[in-house]
Amino acid sequence: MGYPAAQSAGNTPLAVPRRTDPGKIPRMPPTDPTARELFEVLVRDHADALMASIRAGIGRAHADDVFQETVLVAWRRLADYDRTRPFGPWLRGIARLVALDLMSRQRRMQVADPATFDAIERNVAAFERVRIEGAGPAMSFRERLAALDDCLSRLPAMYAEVVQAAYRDDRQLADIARATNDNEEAVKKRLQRARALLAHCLRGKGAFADEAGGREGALA
Amino acid sequence: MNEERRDISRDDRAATDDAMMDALLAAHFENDEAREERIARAFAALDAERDGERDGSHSPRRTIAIIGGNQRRRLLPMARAAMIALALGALFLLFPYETNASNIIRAALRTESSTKSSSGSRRYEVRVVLPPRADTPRGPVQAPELVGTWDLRGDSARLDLAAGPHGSTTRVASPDGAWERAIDGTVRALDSRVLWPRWIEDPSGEVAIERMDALLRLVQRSYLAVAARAGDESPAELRGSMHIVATRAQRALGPDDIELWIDTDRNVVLAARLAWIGAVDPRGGPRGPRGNAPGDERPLREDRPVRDGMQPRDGMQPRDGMPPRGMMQPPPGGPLPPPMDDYRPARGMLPPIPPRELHLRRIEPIEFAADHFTMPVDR
Repeated sequence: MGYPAAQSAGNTPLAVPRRTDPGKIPRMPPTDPTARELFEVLVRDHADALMASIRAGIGRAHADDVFQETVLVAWRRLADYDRTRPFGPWLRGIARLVALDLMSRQRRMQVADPATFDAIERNVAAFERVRIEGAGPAMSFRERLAALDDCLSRLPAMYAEVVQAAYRDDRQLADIARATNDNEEAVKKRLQRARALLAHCLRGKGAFADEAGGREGALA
Repeated sequence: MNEERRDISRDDRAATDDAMMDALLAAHFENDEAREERIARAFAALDAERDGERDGSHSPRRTIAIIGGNQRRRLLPMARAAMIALALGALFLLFPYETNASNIIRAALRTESSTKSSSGSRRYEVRVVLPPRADTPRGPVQAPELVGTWDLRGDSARLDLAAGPHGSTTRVASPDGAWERAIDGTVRALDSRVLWPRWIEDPSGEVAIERMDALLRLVQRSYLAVAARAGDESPAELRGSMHIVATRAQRALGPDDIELWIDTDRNVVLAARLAWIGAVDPRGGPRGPRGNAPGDERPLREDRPVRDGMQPRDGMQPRDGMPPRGMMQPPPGGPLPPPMDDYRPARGMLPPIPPRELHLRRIEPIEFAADHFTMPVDR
C-alpha cells in the first residue's frame, strides 16, 4: 500500500503556534543536504505531539514502531507536504496511516477507528493551543505539559499516588495493587478515575477539545 | 482524508479522553533520554536508508524497525545509540524486514521460561573464545578456544567443555546439588556458589549464563536491541531467522554486545554470540580446563561468604550502594578483608574473567538420559 499525502485530520482549524514556521520549509527533494537538517528540526518540534497522538491511537506496545515508520514515510513524502498547512497534523496524519497499515499486518494490534482518531487529533490540537501563564505562544508541546502539573497537584491523594506509581515510577498495576493491598481491578479503576479527573481539569483550561458540552472539570 | 467531522458516542468519547490522558501522562513523565533515544533511532534509520539510496545499494524500503528494550530505558548516550543503529543499517539494507525486537525477545522468553518450567530438554553447542593473554616472556600467546555442550533440563544445567580432543571437564548444577567431573575423571561435589563465573549478571542478581531465559531477560532489561531478518552477515544455517543485535544500554554486568538468532515460528533461540570488547587476560599463563595447577585452588573461606560477583569493568558500583550479592555487612570486629580477585575457587572450567566471545548454537532434537544431571556414585 502506498501512502497518500496526509491531510489535517477533521475540519477543526489547526492554527498551531509554530516555533518553526512551516512556511520556511523549502519544497525540495529530500536529497538536498539541508532538507535533512530542516526536517529533523521540524520532527523534533512535533515529536511529543506525534508520540502522544500515536500512543492515544494505538497504545504503547507499537508506538515506537509507528513513530519511526512515520518519520521515514514523512521523509520520503516530504515533497508532497503542503507548506501552507501546519506540519504537525500532516505528520500525525501519516502516523494514522502507518498505524492502519501496521494493523493490517499484525492481527493482535488494536488501532482506534477514524472517528476516534479525529477526536484524538482535536485533543492534540487543543493541547497545542493551550497557553501557560507567563509563557509566550511559541512553546513546545513538552512545555505545555506543565499545564498537567497544576491538575496533578489538585488530584486527591488516593488518585495522585496511583498516577505517580503508574507513570512516574512505571510500575505495573499488579505491583501497585500488591503495594497498596488492593486488587488489580480496583487500582485500574482508580487510575481511570484519576485520568478522567485530569481530563476534566485540562478541559477546564482549554487544553482538551471541548466535546463534553463545555462542562468545567471537577478539578479546574 | 475525509474533512467531515466524525462524531463519536459518549462512551467512545470517554474512552478517547482516557487514551489521550494516558498518552499525555506518559509524555509528561517520560525522561529526556528516552525521548532523545527515540528520535535518534528514527533518524539513524532514516540516514541508513538515505545512505543506501545514495549508494544505490538498495531501493527504498517500506519499513524499518528499530526497537528498544524496556519502555523506561535509562541513560543511553545518544551517540552510541545512533552509531549502533547506523551499524545495523547495513543489515537492514540487505534484508529489510519489519519486526519488533522487544516482541520477539518477549515471545522467546515466554517459550524459554515455559520450557524450563516444563522440564523440556535443550542442548547448545558452546564455543568460548578466551581473551588474548598479556605478553609472556616468550611473547604474546594465543589463548585456546574451549568447545563443548551446554545441556539444560528444568532447573538443571550441565556444561561439558574441552580445550582439545582429549577429555573434557564437566560441571553440573541441579536441584540435587552441584558437582564436577575433572579431566582426570575425578568426581566431586561443588558448592553451587562457586559453580559458574559471574561475568554476566542482571540487576536482580540472576546469573544469565546458566539459563537462556535469564539471558533473554538480561537483554530485555539492560540492552538496546534491534532486529532484522538474518542474511549474508549470518552463518548460512541461521539465515531466515530473526537476527537481534543488542548492545548494553545500562550499567549491567554482562557482555558489551549480544547477538541472538531466533526462530520466530517456534520462538526459540537458535544461536547466540556474546562479545566482551577488549577483554584481555592480564595474568598470562595457561588457562582453560587444564590450566590451573592443583595447588592453585583456593578453598572457600569459612569466615566470610564467597565473593559473589566481580566488580564490573567500567567501575560500576553495586546498586544503591549495597554490597555485591552474597556479601554481608562488615562484622562487628571491623571491615572485611579485600575481596578475592578470583571468586571462583573451584579449578578449571570457565575463567573468572570474561572471555572475548561466547558462542551458543542450539542442537536438536535432544533427549538426555535420566541420570544426565545426576552426580555419579563412586565405585
